[in-house]
Amino acid sequence: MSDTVLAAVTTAPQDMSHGGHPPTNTGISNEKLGMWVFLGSECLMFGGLISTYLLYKNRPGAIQMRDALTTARVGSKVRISDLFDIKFTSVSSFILLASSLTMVFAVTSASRKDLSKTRLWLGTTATLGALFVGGQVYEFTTFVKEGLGFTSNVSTSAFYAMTGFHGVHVTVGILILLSTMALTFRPKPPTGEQVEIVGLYWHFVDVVWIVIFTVIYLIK
Amino acid sequence: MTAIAEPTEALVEHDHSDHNHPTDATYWKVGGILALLTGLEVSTYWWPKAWHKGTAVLLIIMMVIKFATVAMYFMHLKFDSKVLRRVFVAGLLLAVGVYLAALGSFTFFHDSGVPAFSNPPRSKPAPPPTTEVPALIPTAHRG
Amino acid sequence: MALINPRNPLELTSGEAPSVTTRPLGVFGRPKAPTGWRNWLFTVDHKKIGIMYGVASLVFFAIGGSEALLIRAQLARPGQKLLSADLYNQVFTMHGVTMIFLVVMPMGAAFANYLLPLQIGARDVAFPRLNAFSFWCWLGGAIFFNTSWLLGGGADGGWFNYAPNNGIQFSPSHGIDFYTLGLLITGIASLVSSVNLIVTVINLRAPGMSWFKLPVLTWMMLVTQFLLLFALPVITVALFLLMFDRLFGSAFFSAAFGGDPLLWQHLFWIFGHPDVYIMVLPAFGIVSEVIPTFSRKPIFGYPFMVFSGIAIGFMGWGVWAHHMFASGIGPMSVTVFSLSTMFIAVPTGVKILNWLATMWGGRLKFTVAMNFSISLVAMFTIGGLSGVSHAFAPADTQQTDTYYIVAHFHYVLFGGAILGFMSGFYFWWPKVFGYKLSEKLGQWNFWLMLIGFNLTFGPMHILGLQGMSRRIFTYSANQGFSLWNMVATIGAFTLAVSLMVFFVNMVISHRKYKKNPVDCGPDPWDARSLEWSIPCPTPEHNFDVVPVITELDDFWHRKYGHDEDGRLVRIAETVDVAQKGDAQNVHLPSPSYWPLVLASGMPFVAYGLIFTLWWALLGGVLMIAGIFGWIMEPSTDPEIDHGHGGDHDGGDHDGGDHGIDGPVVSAAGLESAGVSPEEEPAHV
Repeated sequence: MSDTVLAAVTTAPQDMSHGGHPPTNTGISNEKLGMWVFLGSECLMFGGLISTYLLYKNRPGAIQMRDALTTARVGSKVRISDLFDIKFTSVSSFILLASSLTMVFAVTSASRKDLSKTRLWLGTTATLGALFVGGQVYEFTTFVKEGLGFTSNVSTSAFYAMTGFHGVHVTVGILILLSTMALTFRPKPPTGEQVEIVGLYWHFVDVVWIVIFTVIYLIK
Repeated sequence: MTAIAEPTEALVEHDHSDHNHPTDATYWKVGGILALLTGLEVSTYWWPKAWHKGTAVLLIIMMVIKFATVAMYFMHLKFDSKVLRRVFVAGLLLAVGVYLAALGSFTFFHDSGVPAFSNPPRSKPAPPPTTEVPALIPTAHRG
Repeated sequence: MALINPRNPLELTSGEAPSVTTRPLGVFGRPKAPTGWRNWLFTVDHKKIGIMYGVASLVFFAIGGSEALLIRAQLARPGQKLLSADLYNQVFTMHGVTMIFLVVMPMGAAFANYLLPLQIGARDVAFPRLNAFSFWCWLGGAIFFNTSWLLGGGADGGWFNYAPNNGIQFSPSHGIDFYTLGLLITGIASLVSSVNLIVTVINLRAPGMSWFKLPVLTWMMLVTQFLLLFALPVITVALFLLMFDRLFGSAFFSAAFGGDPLLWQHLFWIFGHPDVYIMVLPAFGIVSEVIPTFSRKPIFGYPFMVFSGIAIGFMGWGVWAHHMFASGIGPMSVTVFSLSTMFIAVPTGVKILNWLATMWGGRLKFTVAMNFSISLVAMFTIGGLSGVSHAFAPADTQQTDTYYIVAHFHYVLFGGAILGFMSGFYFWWPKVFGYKLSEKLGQWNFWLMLIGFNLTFGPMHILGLQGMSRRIFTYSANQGFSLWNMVATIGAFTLAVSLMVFFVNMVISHRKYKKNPVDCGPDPWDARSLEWSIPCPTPEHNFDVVPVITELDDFWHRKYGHDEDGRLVRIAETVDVAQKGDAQNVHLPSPSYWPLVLASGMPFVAYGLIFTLWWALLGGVLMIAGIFGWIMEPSTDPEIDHGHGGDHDGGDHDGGDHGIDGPVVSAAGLESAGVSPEEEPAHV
């Protein structure tokens, strides 16, 4: 039995230099691979919601809508895209984009084990995310005040469903960021890779917005 | 004793390319480029209406560049194992393909000028039957 | 000596009882019970979870089967009045949904959970707690869905639940709300499980097990998990939109209000067609293990087997609209989807051919498992051919919504999936429980099932071509459907008898084993893949030492070699190459309460959405408690840490990363963490 081969077998997996996680076939930790696999699946989720909106955005259709049960009422003839405020949404987009950049710095600080910087950047990212969600809430309330609610017509339903799902993702992301920040105060703070996995989710939410911003808001 | 002839084969897939992570300066640069692109995107809103079609194409291109940049740099896909890229891109391409096909069958791209997605032109609907109407009019007169 | 453990995890110091006592939340300890029902409720062991999937899916098989018998009893004679039209709608819908989502899919999950880690030489799946969560979440959704019978009636829109019939206007009861929310919950379960199993296969293969040394079953399961991963979000979108329509007053699928009923059909079938392969590929994998074993030949054309599986998985995405040829999607779409549907028959044909070629010239042994596998090859071919006839759009428009379709998909789902799973049950029963099922009763089971199956679904081809449409609750005597309907009903009851024989077989074989426990050895079938190299039943810790893989069917090649003439010769006795299962102090992931707590919240949220939001509040509290408990709980109990070095004791890692288990659990496959439950009491 070749000793060299055996040595290669016994030593290679035991070096824990794979970012501190136990050895795997690919050298990637299970968590990181799992997150990417999950994000691949999320593409089809957002794809479906965006396609639904694209299909319905110009449907004046029959605009009779009913309430949650049976009372018929007349819906709105206004398309939701008529109310878009590009200037406002652009600012929101810049904010979310900036949060991606700050997230990157949170990851690099965490991998340098610089806890205070990690907290700072995580906090900044969460704040920017909260600003974005706040902007979305403001946008929604404006639309509702203008008379376009969730059930006004199919274009509004599809719009609120899509951006709502994105907003929920951002909100969940903020909670994750804050939890990660809280965990840095514990004796065993999150490793660089754990912060990186949180970051992957956050960046994904950002790239989804890149698509939504272009396809929904900018292309006429 | 050949039992361990090539025992590390499955482990060969390791690629430790994550050693060359970009520096902070690179991230700032990438962030700057993204901001510039976003600025350009927003500016298209005020471009002349006549450029409509070209603008749409340009916007899509910029969107793809931004998407790829964030994925490659911020999400480290460029520097990470290929497995990650494969699973993510599989989902992404599948989503794009499947939903474009579904929208295509809704004649969503009917007027897009892309032949692959345009249904053959429908024959014009037959004019509404008019023969009945004159017959009714005399009745009205009579009444 | 051939089995080398490179990772060394088993030479851990056994250590004394640790003096540190940490309680994750200061209040709750970890579940400790090594035996009894608690052990099942809080387990994270992939084998126990696999068994629970199997048991639950068999229970739902009995429920769905009873619904099928009701349908057949109603249709036995013209003008039968057993079920009203309304009740009939509910019964066939519940039958379809139950069989697809609560029987065939979880049965595949049962085999995947139990066998995947064993076939790749891993200690457990990548995320054991998430695995437990998947099961409980699925079970919660399944029970929730079936409670609709007691709360105002089941769903009545058919399993694909087309708009506008799925709107409140046409289905005012809560049945379809139970359908949307129930399938959302089971969908979450399957999605989590697919992520888990994909990571397991990619990351936790034993050293040396490269992609082309994976058993075919593992490959097919992997393809299945990818299909689940990408298909489930699509149905999730569809179900969410339908939920908004029904509960919150939008009109996504209501043409009267500007929505588009076809959108539902597209979203449903973009999921629904890959789902067909999700159901049948695991069975293909099972057959690809059983046939080589009982032909005593390696699988013919292994790479073709793998690539055709991948090709089916890939092409499965491009054929969905063949379910919609009759809905007016336009000549262009019909042409494209016709062609792609014809093409997808090619990789399936490759598989059939390879199974036949595997048997060709082999020394066949007609055990029950083998019989079921061979019958799958035959029956699936019939189902596949009637499927090709749907690819031709003009023929399809004749067949749409007739019993011909019903015949077709029962030939692929019963003749494909269920026959394969039955084969799997007989084949792996000794691995799971330590004794074989009776072959004699098994042969009764097999022949009754094969005959009953063909009696039930064969005549439906004729009925369909005669023009009997599906989903009608009765017919009149002068339509000429009476004879074949009666035959089908007799067949259905024969099927029921065969299943009774199966259940009786379980009981009798178990009793016999209890009375006279004969050890069947690690490898009762003289099989090929890795799971047979460990004792029956599988020990808690799976492998004593992580095997090093050098060849496809590595275990077989440890037993057999070739002489100079190329003839098969035994080179080692099974007992010499098999593991003993006597490893001590193996660290295993610790059981946990939280997956169950988290999963139990979901049905309550769903009840809340349907009835009163107070239920949702309760569910929300449970879920939040579950998430927090989960995050705060180290995935390995520090109390039973054997001085294993703190290097990977992540403790409360991953602040909220969707509850994905931290690094410690990921160790499960290779470098195990925690202590085998047999060990635990010593330290508590």
